[in-house]
Amino acid sequence: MMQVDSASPPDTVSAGTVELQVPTELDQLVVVRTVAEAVAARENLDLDAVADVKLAVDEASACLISRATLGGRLECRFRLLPHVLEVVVATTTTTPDVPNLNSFGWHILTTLTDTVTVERNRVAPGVYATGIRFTKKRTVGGA
Amino acid sequence: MSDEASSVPVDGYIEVRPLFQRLAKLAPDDPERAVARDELVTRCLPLAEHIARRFGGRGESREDLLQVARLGLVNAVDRFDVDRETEFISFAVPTIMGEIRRYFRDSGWAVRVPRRLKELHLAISKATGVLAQRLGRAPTPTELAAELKIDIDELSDGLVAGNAYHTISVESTISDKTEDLSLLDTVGDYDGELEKVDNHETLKPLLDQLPERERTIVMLRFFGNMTQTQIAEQIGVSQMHVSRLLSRTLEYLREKLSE
Repeated sequence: MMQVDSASPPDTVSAGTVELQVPTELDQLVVVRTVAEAVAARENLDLDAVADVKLAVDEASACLISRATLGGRLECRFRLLPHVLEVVVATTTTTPDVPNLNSFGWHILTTLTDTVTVERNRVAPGVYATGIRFTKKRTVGGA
Repeated sequence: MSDEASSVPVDGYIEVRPLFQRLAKLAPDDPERAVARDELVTRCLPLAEHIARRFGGRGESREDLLQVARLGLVNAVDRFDVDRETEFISFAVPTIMGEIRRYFRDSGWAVRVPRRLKELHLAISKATGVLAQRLGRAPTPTELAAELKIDIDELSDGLVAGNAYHTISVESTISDKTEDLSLLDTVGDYDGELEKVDNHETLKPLLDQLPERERTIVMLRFFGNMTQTQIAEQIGVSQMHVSRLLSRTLEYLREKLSE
């Protein structure tokens, strides 16, 4: 199906993976965050963590959408790993410096998540495949 | 209910004046001051409960309403100037009602959501508070489903229903600053942390301009490292309400920072 970035071959897309594609428009954020909430809740993250995932997806998506190439698609992938929910939000952007790692937005992302990284590749002149990958641990017991 | 409403024991509150006079004489750092303030708040709690009850049955959780009313009462106690001619009650009632009205304006169902889901969402919100108290952390969906004796799919429905909640823009609440609660002295307390952020020179005035409560929530979550559950407990609203306020405040800040 969708290939978010070169670092994760398609065979890692397992049965526990949820994928979503929306137009790169800000009014799609509500769709993305609603799915994020439902997935995080199903993964049995505690409600603080569910809320954090939702906000992080919102922030990462908004950041990418603001620099997305015209008519692009925002791809979101939620992967359920043991005790960890991994989220990748990706699109093609017009600049390579998204997000700015010293920005408030990035500070928000690092506060809300356990790990967060950016992956970017130049795919054409002025077009970059940019992905924000973050994880959120399930901190309390319960299956 | 309306009979009850008209029977606010007005006379009963007149005797709080001596307590306020005592409070006014105490120095701000006098430990007696906190004791006197607590006594006043406790004495007037029935007033907050009474007003909260009058706003019941409108699809909002009773616990949230009660907490909002109590917050209003604490504000009223803190702001009442005993040297003024007015009685405390005529100052406190509009203050408490103002706080409740603001709560209603801040939250409400934007989309027609089936009553069953609204009730489920409220039940989850309430159970979240109860379990957070018991566990000392935010509960998981499994724990909530067990507490409410519903299955996990139903719980998920109730949670996600919250996305149909109406959130008004932060901008329209900015003018409310005067009636806001002072929970955090200034953004300045977090200067050190803030300065690590590139756009802090643009960010700081935006944070300063936020309504006190929204600013407090943002600062505690992102610069004070508190969880939503801890913030909810500190400011006296539900975790779900903190979540909504945080979400719309970040959206507002994003918009402003990109201008």
